[in-house]
Amino acid sequence: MRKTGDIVVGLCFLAIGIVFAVNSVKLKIGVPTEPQPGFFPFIDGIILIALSVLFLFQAWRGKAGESPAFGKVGGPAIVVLTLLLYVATLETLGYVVTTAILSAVVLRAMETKPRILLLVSVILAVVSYLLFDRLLGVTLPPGLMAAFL
Amino acid sequence: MGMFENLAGGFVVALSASNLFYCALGAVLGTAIGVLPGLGPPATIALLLPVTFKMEPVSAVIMLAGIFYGAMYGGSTTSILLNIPGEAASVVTCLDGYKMARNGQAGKALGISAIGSFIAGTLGVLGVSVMAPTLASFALKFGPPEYCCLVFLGLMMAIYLSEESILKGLMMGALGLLLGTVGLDPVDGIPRFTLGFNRLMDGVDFVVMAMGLFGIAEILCNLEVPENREVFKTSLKGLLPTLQDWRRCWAAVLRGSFLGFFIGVLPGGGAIISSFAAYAVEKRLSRYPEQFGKGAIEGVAAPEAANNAASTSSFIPLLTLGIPGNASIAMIFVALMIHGIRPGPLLLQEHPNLFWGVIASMYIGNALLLALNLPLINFWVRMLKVPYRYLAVVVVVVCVIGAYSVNSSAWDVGMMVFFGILGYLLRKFAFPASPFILAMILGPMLEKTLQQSLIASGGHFATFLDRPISATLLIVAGLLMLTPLAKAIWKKR
Repeated sequence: MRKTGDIVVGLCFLAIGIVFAVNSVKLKIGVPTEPQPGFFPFIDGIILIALSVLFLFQAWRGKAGESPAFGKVGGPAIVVLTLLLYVATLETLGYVVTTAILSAVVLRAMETKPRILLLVSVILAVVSYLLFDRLLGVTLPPGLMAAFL
Repeated sequence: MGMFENLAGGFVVALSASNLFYCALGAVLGTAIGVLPGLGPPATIALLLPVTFKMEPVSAVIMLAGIFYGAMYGGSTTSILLNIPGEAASVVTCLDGYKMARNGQAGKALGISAIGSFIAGTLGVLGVSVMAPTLASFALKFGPPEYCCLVFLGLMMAIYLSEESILKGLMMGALGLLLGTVGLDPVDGIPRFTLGFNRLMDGVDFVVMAMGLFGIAEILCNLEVPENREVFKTSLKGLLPTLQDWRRCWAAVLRGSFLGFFIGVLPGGGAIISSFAAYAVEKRLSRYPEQFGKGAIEGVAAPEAANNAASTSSFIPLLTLGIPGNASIAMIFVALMIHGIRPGPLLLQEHPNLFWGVIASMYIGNALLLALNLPLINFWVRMLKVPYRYLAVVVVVVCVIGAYSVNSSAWDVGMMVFFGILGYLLRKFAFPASPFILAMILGPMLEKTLQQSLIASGGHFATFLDRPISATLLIVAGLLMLTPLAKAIWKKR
């Protein structure tokens, strides 16, 4: 049986190998007596290409092992999305607001009751801000809360 | 100076008030995350890396090492009481440990695993103090070609021993080597593969990557499975094994310790394989093999001894050769590099205090763990009742703060999220993360020694086969890679 998932993964690895190998050529490979910056990544890239082709071949023939068992992917997907939004808004909205939202989403994905969820995420965001920013000297972006904190 | 004088010097370092505190802190934290399923030692060490920036290097390594071996103590508790391994090296303890708990012998199982771990840990530390200096002085004679082959063999072994699919391991290794080349070229200082981002000039930040790959990825994976935890309700009486138990177990503990120690020295060997190997050996040697899987006390004692001895001895390749053999040790390697210390054969000469201080702290840590664990076992059990979601959310927040603190920028948080997603997908497709990390860390060294060897020999790859040590190392690496092929051919016939 062909493993579509494995074939996609194999193609990704293959693409990475090709990108590195091609760019190594641009960096100049040199000769063994006088290796240039592209020398080592070029060899690596070629090895990765060869391994990926072998992997693709196995996947094509349905020999590449078990297919992945995805459980309920809704949880991870929503958390990943929130994390990406978090990165985009961290410096403008500030640590406390964004972290409270992030915590709430993580807790929600793990089936926490709404009331506890709100309480825990707000407390966690504020306490961690005070602990790390004020006590331990890690500068966290204040953002919207600049006036209060 | 003899070994004992060195060790005495190490104790002076390890017994200073602050180092004693960090040793205890590491051991307790290690036990806690060992007990709690869903957060492993590499993730915990990665999370704490930013905390160690401002610490003395010795204290940093003492604490991180404590987490690593402390987790081996803690992991068995969850295996025995919940039939869920608290961390991967305790999988095999579930077999007989949980059965013992069902038979009303939970206390005894917990007791023997703590005492067995203590004996093994202490023996392991003794072994390290004897073996490490010898190996380091031997490795001092290595030139670039030997080093190049050693790093190569280390990587191959880690790939060969760590996972079932060697092809996947090799692919991850090659990917790690490639990502390791991102940043300034170590020889000429030319930027490579930075995609025009100045931030990538220094390469991919290990701390940020590790927090994503272990911390965030672990949480994402656990989000898929609904929480289900039931602590086995039982009275925890009779923690100390009786004389009769001892008579059955002492040999198993010793065998487990030795086996674990020698498997642990090998890169990729580590605690998981050694615990399985020890279990298999005991089952074969036992006079009552039919009791295994039904609550045989040796089936708990031997693997627990083995995983502890292995976690101790896996410090040997790190401290003497500069080669981390598993993901946790790789994180400790990163901690040393952050402090500008390059682990390797010179470590013993350049930083004797660090070397012996860490080893002495492991003696102390093992004693502390025994003293802490047996009386506190009820506390650890109660901790298991705290729902996983609270741990998960704290881990996410600590990851975010840690990544941000590296350069005070959201860029690093973004990188961490990227590696978190990558780690999650790789786990789903059963691609092992540790060869990737090891290759990324060892890549620059491999590249440098490869280039040096080639330049010195006038561009002949044969130089590696001309020198006896490097040739041996290469041949071993080659044989390792050929075994799966040979097996496949054998099966077909």
